[in-house]
Formats: sequence, structure tokens, C-alpha cells
Amino acid sequence: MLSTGGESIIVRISILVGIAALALAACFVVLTLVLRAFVNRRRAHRVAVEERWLPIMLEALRKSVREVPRLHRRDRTVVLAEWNRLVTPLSGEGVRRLRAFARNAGLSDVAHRLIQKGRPDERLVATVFLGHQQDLRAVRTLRKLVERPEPIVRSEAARALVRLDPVNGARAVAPVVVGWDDSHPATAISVLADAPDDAVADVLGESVFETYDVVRQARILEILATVQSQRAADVARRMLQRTIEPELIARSLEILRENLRPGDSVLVRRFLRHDTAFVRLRAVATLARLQAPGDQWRIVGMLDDPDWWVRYRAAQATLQSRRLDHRFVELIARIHPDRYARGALNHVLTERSP
Amino acid sequence: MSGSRIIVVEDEADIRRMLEFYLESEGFEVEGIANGGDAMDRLDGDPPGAVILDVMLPHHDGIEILGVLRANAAWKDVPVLMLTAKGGEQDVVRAFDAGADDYVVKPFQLDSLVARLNRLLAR
Repeated sequence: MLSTGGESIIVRISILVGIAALALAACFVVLTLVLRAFVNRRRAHRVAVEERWLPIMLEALRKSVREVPRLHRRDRTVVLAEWNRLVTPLSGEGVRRLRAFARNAGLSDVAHRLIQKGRPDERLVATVFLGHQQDLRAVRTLRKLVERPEPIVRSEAARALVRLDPVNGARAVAPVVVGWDDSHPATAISVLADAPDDAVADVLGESVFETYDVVRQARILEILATVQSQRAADVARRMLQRTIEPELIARSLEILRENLRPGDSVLVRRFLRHDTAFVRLRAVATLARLQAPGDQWRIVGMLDDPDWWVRYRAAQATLQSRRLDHRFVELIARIHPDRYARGALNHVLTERSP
Repeated sequence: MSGSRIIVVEDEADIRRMLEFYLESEGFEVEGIANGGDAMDRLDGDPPGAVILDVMLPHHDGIEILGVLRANAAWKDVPVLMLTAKGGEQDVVRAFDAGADDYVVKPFQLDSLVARLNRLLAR
């Protein structure tokens, strides 16, 4: 039981806590209002700048604009971003006109200043701008930015270098972007998209043999296959003759399967007895695609492989073979001495039956 | 052909405004639409001379809109030019299968776009 004095202390403490909570809530409300006002002001400013500059830039798409308004310091990021958005979907004359406008308006100098001394968001906008503007003065700065750890900064810098000089940019950037282990290969592919496929394929075809990092080699092969599948198949053939890494052998067989030549079966056959199951699996799939004379028996020979997936793929390939009669395949399914082989074939025959 | 009414369905505001400005300065009357839902609603109205249609749109994609457009008696003969960043062979085939009259991949040339539009309108 509390005394009267004790109760009054609890009441006082409660009142103080209540006042403190109210004050804190009021602070949050004020802070929220201030932040909202700040955001609204920035948005209003952006809209105002766009309204002032967009008609001029659009006019520049049709004819040369001689009188350009003075670019205020606080407007520069918005103007550069707007210019970037306009130029990105365009090619040809429209791009040339927008570049001329940017030169007249002094946007290049602004971008150079921002890329050196701007905030991170300003640097990013300036990086994209300098790539589109094809300003050769930016090469050294952009090459430094490509080495940065931040994925968005380095990828935009790499993209800018490729836009700036598609052939030399790709040569400089391709060996670096394939080493970005923390990014998906699609990032590297998109960065190199503006470069001629031949230039990219040349660089990647060389760099794949200049490293002993298996993960990187596999990544290069994957990117190369997307850029130019024919060239990737040539590199895969060389890789199959050199490497002992199962990951690389499997990746090379996968690439080869999309661009086969008649003589490839000799290269592929030796992987049917590889120690690693996924290599044997790819070898069977590749031989099945080739349909070379005699390989149907090699594929039948894989039906008793110790790995279920290899047996299953060999059974599929046996059934798909143009060189084996369907009734003969059914006969193998009945009389094969290995019960797992019979199981795999019957499994596939059941899947295919109507 | 100048004087014709063109509908531009494009969700990126800057590209839409650029096309509106450029086509208007070429003498076209232009109506901009920002999303697939509004484009579908617009199919209840009068058909234009031609439509420039983006493929990737919010609510309904360009291919879906094109299918509905071709099934609409009043709109079925309206020339449609697809304007898109998707330049893969499958994407182009899909658009022509759905009834597109022409296909332009971003980045595009404004003058070339206008020339293609004029050719479609002249047919």
C-alpha cells in the first residue's frame, strides 16, 4: 500500500513523462513538417527548372539555339539530369543537336566541376552526362571512377567510357567489368551494350585465358556467349582443350552446344567418362544435339551411369536419336542388363507416351 | 502527313513530351497518353490518324493494347508504330504478330520516326 506522499510522487512523475512524450511528439511533427516542406520545395524547384529549360532543349532538337539562359548554380544538377533523360532514347541528328546545345550552354564545364567536387548524386549525373556528351577530357576521371567500389558509380562510369569511345572504351572497360564479382553478369553485358560486339568479343576472348581465376573465367564465358555466341563457341573449343576445371568444361560444353560443328563430337566424347557428373551430363546433351554417326551407341552406353540425371538425359537423347528406331529403343528398355538403365529408359518412354 | 492526329502512348514523361513537341512542330496534332489504362479507355473514343505505342507500359502493355485495338471495329485499320527499348528478334516478331505496322527501337532518330509515321499515314 503506497502512502499519500508516494502517490503524489508517482503523479508528478507521470505528468512529467506525459509532458516529455507530448514535447517529443511535437518535435516529430515539426520535423516531419519541415522535411515535407523541404522535399516540396526541392520538387517545386526541380519542376520550375525543368519548365524553364525543357522547352529550350526541345527547341534545340529542331534548330540551333543561340540564346541560352544563364545556368544558376543550384539548377545545374536538374538541368544535366533533364539533358540526360532527353538524350538517352535518341540517336543520330537529335543527339548531335543536343550535344551542340550542351556545349553552347557550358554544361560540359559544369559536369567536369561536379564530377570533381560535387555530391555523390551530382557526380553520378555528371558521369552519365559526360558519356553522352562524348567529352574526351573526361576519360582520365572516368577511368578512375571505374575502379571505385560503389557498384552504381563504377558501372555508370564504365557505361560512360563505352559511350564516349565505343571501341577503345570497351577495350579498357571489358577486362574490369568482368571482374565485378558482386554484380550480376547482366550488369557487365548492359555496360558493354553500346560497344561493337566484335570489339567486346576480342577483348573477352583474350582475357579469358589471361586469368587463372575459374569463377572469373566462367563469368567471361557467360558474358561472351551473350555478346557473340559464335566467338564464344570458338573460345569454348580452346578452353576444352586446355582446362581441367569441371566448372569451365561444363560451361564450355553448354556454349558449344549452341554453335556446333560436325568435328566437335571428337572433342566432346572424351568428357563422357569424366569424374564429375555434371560434366558427363553436359557431354551427353551436347552429343545428342550433334547426332554424329556412332554417337548413338556412346549415348546408349551412358544409360548405366551412376548418376540419375546423366542416365535420365542419356535416355532422353536415346529416344530423340534419329539413328535409332523407336522399336529398338523399346527393346533396349526391356533387355538392358542394368536395371537402372531400364528404369531411366522406361521413365522417359512413359513421359513421352500419349 | 501534317495535320493528322497522332496518339502517343508513352509512360516516360520526357520522351512523351519530346515526341509531342517534335511532332507538333512537324504539323501533327498530338495527344499524349501516359499509361496502358488510359490508352484502353481512349479506345472508346474517335480513332486518330496513327498511334505511336510503347511496349512496356503500366497497367496494360503495348502488345495487349494493340490486340484490343485490332479487335475494335473503329480502330482496326489505324496504323500503329511500336516504339520500344526491346529490340530482340522475338519482341519484334511478337509485335508484328499482334498487328503492328512498324517497329522502332530506342535509341531512335526523330527524323526517321517522322518519316516512318508519314509513310504509314500515306498508305
